[in-house]
Amino acid sequence: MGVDRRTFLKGAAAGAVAGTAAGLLPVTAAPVQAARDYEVPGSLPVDRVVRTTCSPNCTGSCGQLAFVRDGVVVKVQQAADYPDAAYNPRGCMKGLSYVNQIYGADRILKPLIRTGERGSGEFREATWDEVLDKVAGSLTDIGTKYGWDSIHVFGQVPGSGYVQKGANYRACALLGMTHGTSFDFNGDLPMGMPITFGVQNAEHEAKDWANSRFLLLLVGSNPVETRIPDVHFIFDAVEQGAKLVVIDPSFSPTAAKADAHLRIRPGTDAALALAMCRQVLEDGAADEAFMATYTDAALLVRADTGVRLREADLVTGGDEAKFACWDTATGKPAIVGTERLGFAEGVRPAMAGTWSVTLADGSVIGATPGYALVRTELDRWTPDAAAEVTGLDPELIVRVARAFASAKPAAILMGGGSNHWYHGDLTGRAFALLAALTGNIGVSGGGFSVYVGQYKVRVDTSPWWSPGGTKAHVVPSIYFVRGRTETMHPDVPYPEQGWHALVCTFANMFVQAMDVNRLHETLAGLDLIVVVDHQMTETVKWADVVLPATTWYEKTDLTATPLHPFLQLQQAAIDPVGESRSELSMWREIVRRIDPAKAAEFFEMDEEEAIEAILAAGDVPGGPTEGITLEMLQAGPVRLNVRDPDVPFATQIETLVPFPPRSLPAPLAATAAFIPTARIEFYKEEARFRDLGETVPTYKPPFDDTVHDPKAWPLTLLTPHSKWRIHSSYANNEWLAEIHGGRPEVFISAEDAFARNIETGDEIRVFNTRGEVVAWAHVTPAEQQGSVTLYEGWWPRQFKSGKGVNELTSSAVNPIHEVHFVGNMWSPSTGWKDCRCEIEKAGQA
Amino acid sequence: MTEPKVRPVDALSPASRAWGEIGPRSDQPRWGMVVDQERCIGCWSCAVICKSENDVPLGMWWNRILTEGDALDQPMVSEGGGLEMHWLPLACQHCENAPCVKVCPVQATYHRSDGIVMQDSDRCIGCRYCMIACPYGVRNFNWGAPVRPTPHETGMVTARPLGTVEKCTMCVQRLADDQIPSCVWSCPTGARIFGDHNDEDGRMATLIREREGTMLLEAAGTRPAVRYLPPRRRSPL
Repeated sequence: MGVDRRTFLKGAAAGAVAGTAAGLLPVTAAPVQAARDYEVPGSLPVDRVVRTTCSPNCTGSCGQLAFVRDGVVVKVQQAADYPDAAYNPRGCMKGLSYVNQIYGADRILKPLIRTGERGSGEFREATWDEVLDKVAGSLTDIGTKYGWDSIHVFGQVPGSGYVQKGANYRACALLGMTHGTSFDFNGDLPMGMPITFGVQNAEHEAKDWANSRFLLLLVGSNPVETRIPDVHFIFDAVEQGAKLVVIDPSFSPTAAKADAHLRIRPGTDAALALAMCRQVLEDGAADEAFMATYTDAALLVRADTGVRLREADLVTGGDEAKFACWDTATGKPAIVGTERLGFAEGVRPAMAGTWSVTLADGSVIGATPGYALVRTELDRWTPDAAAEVTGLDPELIVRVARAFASAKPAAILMGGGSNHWYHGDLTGRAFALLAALTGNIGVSGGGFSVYVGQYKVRVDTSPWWSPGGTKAHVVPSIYFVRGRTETMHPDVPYPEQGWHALVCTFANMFVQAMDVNRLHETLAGLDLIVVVDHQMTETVKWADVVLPATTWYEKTDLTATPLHPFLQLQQAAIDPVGESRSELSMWREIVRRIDPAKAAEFFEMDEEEAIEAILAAGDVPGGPTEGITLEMLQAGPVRLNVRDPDVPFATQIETLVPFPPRSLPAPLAATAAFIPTARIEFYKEEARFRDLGETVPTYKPPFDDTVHDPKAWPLTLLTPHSKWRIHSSYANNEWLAEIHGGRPEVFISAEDAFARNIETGDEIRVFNTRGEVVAWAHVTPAEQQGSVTLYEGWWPRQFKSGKGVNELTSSAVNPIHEVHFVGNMWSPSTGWKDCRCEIEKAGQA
Repeated sequence: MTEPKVRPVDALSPASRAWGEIGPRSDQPRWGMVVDQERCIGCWSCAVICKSENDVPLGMWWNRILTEGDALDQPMVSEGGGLEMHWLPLACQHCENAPCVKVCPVQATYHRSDGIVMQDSDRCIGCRYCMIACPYGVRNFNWGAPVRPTPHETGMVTARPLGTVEKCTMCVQRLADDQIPSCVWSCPTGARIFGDHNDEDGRMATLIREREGTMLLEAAGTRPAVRYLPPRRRSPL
């Protein structure tokens, strides 16, 4: 398509900045001036250029150069120094505009103590000594009166700073405070992964997308907007002939790049996946050898109890941790251990049928391979059945399934759009099944990867996070927002006397948490709220004490991300702005005041010593930081000791070692308990899975439909991540605001807008039973009837009214997520998009 | 505050410096750029780094991204009934036959022998004829003193005086150090390729030839040094 004058001018008129767009002036060909080669000034000189790492919670972990002149940062630009050139330059417009975050009007320069009501934003400036004494004194009072565990320390995902965020863990471990969670709290923990693979999460490094030769299936994922440094790997694959299919309720900018866009009904992705799985089976395209060897497909499930048949059932004194398949070679059960994948020599496992098995006590029961139970569920997901649920064309479902199954390797990339649902685990399990059925697990260019959050602990942080071997108590922060649930796992160390203080770090929690009106009820009962930040957010305004933090251009840290395997430093380019301090130095001062002896023993370390301790702990044969030194990191990014390309489960697939690989920082045994068969599990036998009808991958309608009847609340409220922000960071960046206009828009289909007499630019009320905001309507063909989109992360002050979009979102806890408990690994993952609402013109109530 | 100053290029690590090197060129380069619309994702990284590099104040963009759609990042309904959206980064096209050069009454706008259209702030009298003549709408006028979100000047060049016109220079301050323009350095998807139109075997010229690069408003006869590679055809499943 050429850019003719019509489309060019149409585009010019639609651009955020109006051009002069003069009419077409024919220009005579003859030059009127001779060329001149005046000398032009070169680049202005600088004091220095410092290499550091951009570290919001975006998973980019992009190397940046800070150009410093006269002691201030005058430009930030990508370092583009990755030894693996495919990763250069890495970085986006947000990181490039960071000077405005360092020096902008919202920067907090001094410690503050509240003088007005909470939330009023009325503070007085204080000295560090005063605020540190106050915080230490209050924490001690609260700790003594209610127990130290009644103090909730909230931080965000640790990958963007193992040392400064780790200082939270260290302080909690030393003082007995409770550390909250983030990966699950953010709804990013893809519960389908621990349920199926026994890992926290495991994803291909982004570079490997380029190796997908035939089809990339993007489910609820919008990398054009949310994985800007990495999306080119998808284009690389497409240039090599890969097909790109995007599954998204909205016509996202990623959909604009796709060969096919499946405009699915929100929250119904699992039904599509199940229908694709069924089609693969019907076409005889399933890789049954893969299923038998690596998954629980052949393991027998007892018809009488719904739990797996064990050696202990078959033999007196048999092992509870050994399972059985039906061996068609011998016509009887064969024992399947957990020390190795596959089967004993000569065993030919049945993948179907119900077999009569005689137990040790002489009774006879029926037993069925898990695969047969999975297939029984799949049988009902005909293309027509899936079309009914998803709103997609049944023929298109068949075409996509066939294209996917015939492509090798084929990758599935799932994003928050599909994960952020109450039943996001079912969606994950269904797509994992599709990947396994087609033999795409553990191979370069394939895989089922969920990209959500910079959660990943890729180094051995224990020497820093767990002083003297003591680990912090971890309680999922969802239980801070809404208190304990009836179904909460008994291992969760919920404080006996409830919550009495919050130390909020690295987060704009009171805006960005789900169900914020409920959170504010919790806040009202607290004796102390301390907020650590460098921007005057709405959360800061609710603090009793505000501690001004440094940005990552003013401190030292160690970072890594799931998206690429390079370990990097944050290195200070400038002195702290104002009186700001690093989190480590704050905690050191607080702990000194509370327990000088512990501080002397455990907190008189600086960042570099902490980094060296972390590196040393992993510098063992096969360890993550084997051979990596601080000096190497000071010179630039260093690839961790992982495969190249980093493909999860490749070791299991190639060498038959059992699942799962370890998820740091938990011990292997903690997550291995999620999959007792030590295989990829598509059949879950735990009682709650049986009680709730979720033993095998299935589809359930969105949970909020049970809270808000779709008849009364006809719209799904989608709150995706914006390309202009990392959550709420950068919402106040003036350069970016010039581009996007600086006010929240609600994207609405023409049908829904017409039915409510709404036009673009109208002030509209978005509401449900949990809360409401007033923002501005934008009618667009990108939106489908039945859903509206309001990108998350806007600040309350940018709305016409309301505390932000999370007044409406849900904090419901799925009891399946409470079957086991390892914080951030098998723990309640929240459903931001599982939310119904209605809209109307503002002022029409 | 009194640290000895260095040229920025000399402060780069060898790896970073290598990323920015211009590479092969002819004996008489005519600098240009090609923008791959298939790779462009409308992220504005090129525009933001331009603003930063060149200390472009609030209210102005030397480089901006148009959405070929309904509005910023919103698709349009195509003739076939489907939805479609592309992005078009737009800055000075550095026309060989530049209307702005022709209309400038004081020769403040001029060509260098490498084809770059320059603006001499000392000569500019602020008449803005060039802004009217330019069919691309890429020139900015300094109506007032520069306003920045930061309390200090930023970037790698000095700000332009009040009452003058300014625009993309292809980062001439960087070319002198054999470094590519900042927008090219910072494009996260590799959608911008800098090169020499006279180097026929160079990557830029090859891409323009093989992927049928286009000129904006070709009929105007401006002969831009900036070209565009059209989006690919979608392949059916």
